Amino acid sequence: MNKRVNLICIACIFMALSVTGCFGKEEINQLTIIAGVGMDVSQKEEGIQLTVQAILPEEIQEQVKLEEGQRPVWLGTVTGDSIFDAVRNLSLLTGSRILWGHSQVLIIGEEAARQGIKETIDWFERSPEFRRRTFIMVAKGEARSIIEAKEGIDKIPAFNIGKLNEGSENTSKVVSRDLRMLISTLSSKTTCAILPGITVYNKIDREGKENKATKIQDTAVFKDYKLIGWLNEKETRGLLWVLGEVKSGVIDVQHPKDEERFISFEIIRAGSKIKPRIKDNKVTIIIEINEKGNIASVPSPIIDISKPKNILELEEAKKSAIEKDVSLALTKAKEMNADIFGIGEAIHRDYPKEWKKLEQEWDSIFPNLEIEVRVSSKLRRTGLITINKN
Amino acid sequence: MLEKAKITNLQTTWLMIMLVSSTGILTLPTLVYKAAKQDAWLTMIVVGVLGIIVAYILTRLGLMFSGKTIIQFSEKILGKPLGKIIGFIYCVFFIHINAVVIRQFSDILAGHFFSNAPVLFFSIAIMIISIYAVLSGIEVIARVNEIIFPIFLVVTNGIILLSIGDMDFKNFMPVLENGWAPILEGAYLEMYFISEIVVLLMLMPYINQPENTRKSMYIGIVALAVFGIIIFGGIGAVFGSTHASNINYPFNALARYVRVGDFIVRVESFVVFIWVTGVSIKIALFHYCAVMAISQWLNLKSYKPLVIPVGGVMVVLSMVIVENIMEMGKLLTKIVVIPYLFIEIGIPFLLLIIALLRKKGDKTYVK
Repeated sequence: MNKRVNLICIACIFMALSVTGCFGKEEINQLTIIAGVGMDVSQKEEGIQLTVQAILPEEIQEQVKLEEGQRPVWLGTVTGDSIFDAVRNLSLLTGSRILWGHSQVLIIGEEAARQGIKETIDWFERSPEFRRRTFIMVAKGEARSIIEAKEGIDKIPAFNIGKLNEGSENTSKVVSRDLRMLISTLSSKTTCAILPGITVYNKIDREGKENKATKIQDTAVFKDYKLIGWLNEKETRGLLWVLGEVKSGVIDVQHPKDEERFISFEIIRAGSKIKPRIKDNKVTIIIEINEKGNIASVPSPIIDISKPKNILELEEAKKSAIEKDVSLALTKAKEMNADIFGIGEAIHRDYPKEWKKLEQEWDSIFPNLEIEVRVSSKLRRTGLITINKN
Repeated sequence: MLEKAKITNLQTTWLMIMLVSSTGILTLPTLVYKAAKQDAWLTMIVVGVLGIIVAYILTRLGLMFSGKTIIQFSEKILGKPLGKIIGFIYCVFFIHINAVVIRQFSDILAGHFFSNAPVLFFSIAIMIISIYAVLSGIEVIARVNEIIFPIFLVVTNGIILLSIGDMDFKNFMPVLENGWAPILEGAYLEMYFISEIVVLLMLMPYINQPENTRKSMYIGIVALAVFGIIIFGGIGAVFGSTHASNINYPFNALARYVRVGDFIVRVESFVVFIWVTGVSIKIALFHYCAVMAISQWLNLKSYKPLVIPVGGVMVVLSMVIVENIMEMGKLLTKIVVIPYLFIEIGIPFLLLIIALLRKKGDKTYVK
């Protein structure tokens, strides 16, 4: 009896292992694995134009030597009435099923972003294959040109764009947003969504040939799902200070004795708090920013940083540099009437009752809001040397 | 007694936690986040308190009529005709709730992981496992659960731990924005999940130390509430309440979102693992209770001939019970809540009161 049971068990396990994948089986050579996708408004006909970058599995192996400038990717462009139509139309080009699970970036063309991203986001969120980790960016110009730019440090250009996003915290000059963060912001009624911008530039290689490469630049501001404007590098940094998303990076301030030279500080850590106050129906906002940093480089003429007085001066200079960035961002945001900082949500958290009334009139309140910025900026270390003797 | 089996209190507690959390972890967060918004985690505190009351009622009944299941002692309390009606209600209840669970199980697998496979395939597959488990008896189900449950806990808590980097606890503010009403609404939905521990009234005769059952059930309920706070909190902190209430299965979405470095990614396969193993325990347990209830109701000598036919009925019922996922949502939030709550809490409570008034039952254990 026992032997028979064992035999049946072994047979079952054997069967379970050997006949797996009967349903929904997907062979790798019948799949097109998408690495990145760009979405534009179609120029020729009504509808949507998708540009995809698909990985070529044979060529990505280490043994295969690619020619200079060649990348193991395939590019395709299709149009369709809706996103899903365009997605399925891709199969007309590839003849295989499309696998979205490895897609790292979604680039939205500038024109498409101006017309609104609501439908786009809906499909990408609803699709069971697409991941919320996918980075979303707005192209300066057409998304197609971004997806088709092949130069980059990674073998697969779209993965390279993903890397650019992950590395954004080294400079804290650009934002980085994935689908989850975007949707979380969009679900707030007052907070305006922001996405990093991406642009193409020409990179000249050793033979003097021009290659297209991509870099992150500026920040796109959305209101009611529509692109309404851009923040430049300084304004983006100011925004990141307020959001508390500055992780690392450099602050340059003018040398006190030579206006053409800059002293660099490395940001070690930073944090921020938005504190709303409501008194007699009047809203005031206090933004507190705390920053700690080290000295990275001090050019001549000599400053004796062993003296506490000089350190205090440098701290003060650093503080005013931060304040300047923040006020740039605040001015721009008020100009666009876009609450990109989540100030409304901060009021919601602290004053839920008052917020119910304020929420309705937020568009007229925000541009005239009284905002006080309090920066505390500290110097911790001077690096490996003290005085700049050279 | 139809079966000579013994299970320990620890096994029972683990079975009960598994029973509630295996489906609750995927289906409850959306429903509760819709009702209670950012205060969803607070609902678990309310549920914990109410759950302890339920556990008290159930264990008290079980101790007053030791060695008997609810099918048997309801006849003792209410007399034969009324008792038979109560017994019949429980027979139908176990079949119905299991059909709902089977449908949920298959819908998630078919909808999220195997988009080309028919729903029926999964229902039949899980039913074959369930039939095998029920034929093997409650001891086997409890012991299999002893293997699965620790893995379940490690995987679920692990996923929450791995997503700590993406959490933003500002999402829970403001607390109690709309007062306690939304929280009670959320708790009301959770109540019929946690009250599934009514199967205790079918299992009490097999517990080897029934005098300690109450204490271990209290611990189980508290553990469930804490576990619920962790899961709800994790989901809310990552997605925010508005977003979480719009995702069909937020815990699965959370697992898909996990990314630590470049090497811990795509952990949602673990969610499939806990979903399949956990729900198979749940289905087997309800299946076992249904079969036991019917055979005791009919005074049969053996429950085994019933196992396959009842399983077949459950699969068929699971196919016709709802048409699509929207109807399933309506079924879970509107239609079944009050009947289930009445069967899970109302009837045991009434039975307890009547038994006390009529001075039925054994008083040696009652404190």
